[in-house]
Amino acid sequence: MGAGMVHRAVFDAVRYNPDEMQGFAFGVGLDRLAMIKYEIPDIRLFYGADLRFIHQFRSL
Amino acid sequence: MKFSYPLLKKFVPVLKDKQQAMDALTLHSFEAEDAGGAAIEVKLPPNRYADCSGHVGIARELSASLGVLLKLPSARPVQSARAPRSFSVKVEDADRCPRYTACALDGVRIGPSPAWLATVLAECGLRPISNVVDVMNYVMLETGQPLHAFDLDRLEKHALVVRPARAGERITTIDGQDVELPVGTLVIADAKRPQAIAGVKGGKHAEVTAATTRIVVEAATFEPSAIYRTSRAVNISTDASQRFARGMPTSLPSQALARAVELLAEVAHAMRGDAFDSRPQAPAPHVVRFDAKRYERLIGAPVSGKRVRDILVSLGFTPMKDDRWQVPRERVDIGSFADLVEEVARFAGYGKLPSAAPHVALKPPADDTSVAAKMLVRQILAGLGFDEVYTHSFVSEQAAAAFDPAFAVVRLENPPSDLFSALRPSLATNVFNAIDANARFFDNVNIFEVGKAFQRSGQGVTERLMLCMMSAAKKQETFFYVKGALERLLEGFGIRNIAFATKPASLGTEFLSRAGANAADGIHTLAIEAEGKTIGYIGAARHAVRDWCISVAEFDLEQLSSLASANVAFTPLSSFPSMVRDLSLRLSTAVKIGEVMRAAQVAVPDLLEDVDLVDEYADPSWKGEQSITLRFVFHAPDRTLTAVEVDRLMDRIAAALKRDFQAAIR
Repeated sequence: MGAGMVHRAVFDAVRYNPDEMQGFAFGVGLDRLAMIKYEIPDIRLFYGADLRFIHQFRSL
Repeated sequence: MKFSYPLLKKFVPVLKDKQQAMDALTLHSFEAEDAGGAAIEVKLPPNRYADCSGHVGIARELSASLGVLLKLPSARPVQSARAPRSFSVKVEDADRCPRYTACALDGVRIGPSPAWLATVLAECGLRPISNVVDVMNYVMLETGQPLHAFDLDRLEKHALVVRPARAGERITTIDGQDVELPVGTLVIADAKRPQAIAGVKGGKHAEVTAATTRIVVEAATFEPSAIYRTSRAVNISTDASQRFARGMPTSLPSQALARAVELLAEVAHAMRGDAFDSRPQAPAPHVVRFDAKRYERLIGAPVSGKRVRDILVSLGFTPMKDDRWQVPRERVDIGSFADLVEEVARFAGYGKLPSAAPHVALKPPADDTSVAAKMLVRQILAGLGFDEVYTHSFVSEQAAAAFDPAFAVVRLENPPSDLFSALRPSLATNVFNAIDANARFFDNVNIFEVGKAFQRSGQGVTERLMLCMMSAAKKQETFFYVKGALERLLEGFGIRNIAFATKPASLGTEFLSRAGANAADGIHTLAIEAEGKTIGYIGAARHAVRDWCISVAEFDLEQLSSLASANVAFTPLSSFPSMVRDLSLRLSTAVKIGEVMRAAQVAVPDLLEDVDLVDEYADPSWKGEQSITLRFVFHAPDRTLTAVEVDRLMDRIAAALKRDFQAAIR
């Protein structure tokens, strides 16, 4: 999961004062969490529209 | 990037094993993984190529991590002159080449490299070629600085000119590739022509061969975007271009050159000659002040002055008065105080920072109606047996071209391929591809997708959130299945007035004609009207190839949500019974059932509660005629209707239908 404090240069670019502002950003791929939980090996399965894959998760 | 563990151990002798090195790097510096054999794979961020693309930089990180001393090789500096005698250098583009250093060497004896050198190269994934070329690569592995050796006697007038390429200039690279140089590409040329693509690759003409006795070694800094652009334009990527493209420090060339000259003496018996440096005076160093109180405020934990000193000194920072620190020249990534905070914190240990729950204002997020709409759609359609899919937002050039030019499809400026050359104007194209792909495994496929469709409008692009439902079955009719699901869905959104009109729907027609609709069966689309507004289309076609019946409905989901209403008011249940009558009619197939039902409503506006089509029949011998049975439900809120009253109402209806549609009552 990528995360970190917002760099001063980013605040400069949007004209916030970096000495007054602090920022924290983080992002986690929901599809990647699902891959860990359900042991899915390839992220492309989510976007391939293959019903043999999709039907396996009808119970959710 | 691959690093040799044995070489790292030479610089950090106390290292116990590869695992310790990888763990230390991963914990404090960069992700490091086992690359097999003696190699470690390190994931370098682009802004750390300047100091860590060489083993020395990684060794420095390890020494700071483990709190140990470094054992670095030193080299006698090269004495440079403004105008060396055995060769000349002219830097015509100082902006793109902020520093150029070079040294001539004589008495070179080309041969294979010693085993210790060849081994390190192999561990890092490089092939040993000859002692001179190998030293160039070895010093790059050690310091990060890319180097290049020219055969001095093969350079016209022994000149090196750093200049933009002129129109029509070409070069044959050392691996025999003939490259046309785009005008303006930075090259290293001799008095006649380009001998190297600066920062990228050397040319064959002046390459070091078995016959070479005199060389000139180049160590320079090139401006990152220039090298990046050149590398893309000529489609050549090398260890050198990858480093320069990310930005190398101008302080490095002289150090690397000194090391190379020393190794060439040891390994190729080369004697150092004249040298050149375009910038012998180092610029003033960058200085940053470390404020312990600000550090604690930013990071959340205090740090002792001693710890700060130990960490920064081991990273090569020089302490000055007043808590100020001189930044090592190779650390082009250190700009401000926040960068110093990161340096200290990552070695002090992010894992050691205390955890505290965040203090935030409890403000509920703004409502996003599209989220609620999407959830409702998924709930209803999944409940009805449809599967949700995600398809690409792009369509192929072929699909885009098939669209009505009046529709203004958004095309990509740099399409990755013909398959992804435009933004989808409708979801149906790719949903159909999904149906097609699943046809191999299923005889009946019901799917839906919620996603954005795009259209050009003026200079910009409009995005619409669409829902597309599609059903396909072998030899089985699917239109009424989709229509029924659609009606149930619209009902779920609180839409009470649903109608289907024969209005042109270009999106629907485009799709169905490309879905292989059989021309003989025709393409049928109807416009979906919710509360009187057209929101999309529904259609059906028989697939020409597979004998499938495909039905599709697609509409604007945002428009639907805006029409949706959760306002329901209870209607009291009546204590008076309804009267039901059936009527069978024979009429032309050109007549629309909806209009017949509407005509009945008009004929009996107040007491007719409901009209339904309960049967239809078409005898094969009838041409253009059909028989339908309508069921009428009559109801009065204040009394029980008598049979006589209902008979009269039925007569009224029958008369209207006979008159308006030439219907024959059966």
